[in-house]
Amino acid sequence: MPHESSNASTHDQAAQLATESRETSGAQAPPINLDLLLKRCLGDIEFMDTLLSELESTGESRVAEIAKHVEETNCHETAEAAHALKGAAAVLGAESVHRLAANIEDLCRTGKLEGVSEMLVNLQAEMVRCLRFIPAHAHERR
Amino acid sequence: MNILIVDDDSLTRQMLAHTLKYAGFKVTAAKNGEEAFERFMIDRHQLIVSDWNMPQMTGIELCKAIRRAENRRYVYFILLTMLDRPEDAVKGLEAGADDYIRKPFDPSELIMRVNAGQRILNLETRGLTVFALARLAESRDTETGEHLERVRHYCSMLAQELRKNPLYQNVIDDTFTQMIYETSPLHDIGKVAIPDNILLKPGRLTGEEFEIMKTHTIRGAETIAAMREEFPNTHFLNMAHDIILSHHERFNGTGYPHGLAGYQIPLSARIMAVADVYDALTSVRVYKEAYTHDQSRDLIVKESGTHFDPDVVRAFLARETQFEKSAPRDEDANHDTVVLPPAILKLFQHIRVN
Repeated sequence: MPHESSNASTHDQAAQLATESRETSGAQAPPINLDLLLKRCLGDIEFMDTLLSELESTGESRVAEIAKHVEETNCHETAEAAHALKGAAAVLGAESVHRLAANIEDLCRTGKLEGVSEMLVNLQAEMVRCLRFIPAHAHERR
Repeated sequence: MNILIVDDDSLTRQMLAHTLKYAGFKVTAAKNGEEAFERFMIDRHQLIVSDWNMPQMTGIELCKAIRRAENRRYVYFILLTMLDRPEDAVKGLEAGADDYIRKPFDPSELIMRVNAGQRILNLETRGLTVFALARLAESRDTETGEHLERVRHYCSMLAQELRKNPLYQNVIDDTFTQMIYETSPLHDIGKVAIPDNILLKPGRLTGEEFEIMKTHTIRGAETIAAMREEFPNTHFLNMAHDIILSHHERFNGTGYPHGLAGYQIPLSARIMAVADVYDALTSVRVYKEAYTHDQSRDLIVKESGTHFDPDVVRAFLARETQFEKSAPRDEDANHDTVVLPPAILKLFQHIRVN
């Protein structure tokens, strides 16, 4: 199944990229702006955790959805999936994910897919960083 | 107010719902345009916050569908989108949306814009009410415009004064004061349903005639009740209904139409009772001269706890100088045919005798 192996491969690359990014850039901004998110949640930490849990459980599949459409070279669906992730990331204050998803959407809206794979790897890496950040943040609070 | 929110993204939907519930709104959530339209056709929401970019049916298509389906009353439609070019805003507003909020939204901005929408919807309701009143006033002019102006002014003063009383601080706010100012002129709209031979009779009414006259409270309230079916949960209409129905109730339970007593009588109606009677006392009627402020005040104080709520009477006394200044002067005299409750007529007679 080329589709699955391709996903697994890009996912591995992304995980490695995320790890490298963390190791080489200790001062890197957190992947989710929690202060902003908490403000948007009107100070309701429990509600904020609900949103983060949802991202934790759906983040990977949201990126996989984009990857699937990239593999199918379907510009329109790739743009739609990237748009959906862009909106969710913006709401959560996941600023890098938001920016990377927006770049993919913008590119695909022009009907082109050149360079989208590299963008996708970066997006996956950033999502990995988010998914690692959420439990760490929860642990820190406990 | 129940707000319909529409977004295909679960996180955004949850954030919208959380923000609007925090602001005190009820929320119905739909995850796409089709579901939203189905829910709208059942619940007929008056305010909708919808994402623009959704698969199958977009926010703009939803807006157009709702505009086509709803021609009886206005639906306030706010589009929520990440599109931020000015031409996008124009496109959304041209399609019939009323407002436009960028994602990610700031909660306070969302609440502010929804509140603005609610104010516009309320104005529409008020416009309809005033229109209904104007039609009634055209057909039966038994009260002069001056009487209505004075009464709303008295009600507003009494509400402001009562607000100083700790018992009412959580009940009376700026909105209450503004609403009683706006709704009090509607208190006698039901008189249009009273036959001319009773409504315009210069002398005292017989018992049978008075029974018919008493129905003006119920008939007027029925008019507002019909509007409330169209606009449920509209505070303006609720207060108008309370005033119209209950302003002839008496604190000791001997009033009409339902014989409510004490705090069973809505506060707005207890305030209205003092304002209306003070104006009737200080105005010339076909059956009496205008009473002085002092005479009128004494009558009202005498009826404190029987006809009137003692708290409202205390508020009246605290503001009596302003009441006196606002009372009709001789040159304002008119000959309204307002029929006062028998107890007040008895008091007039008592003053004549003494």
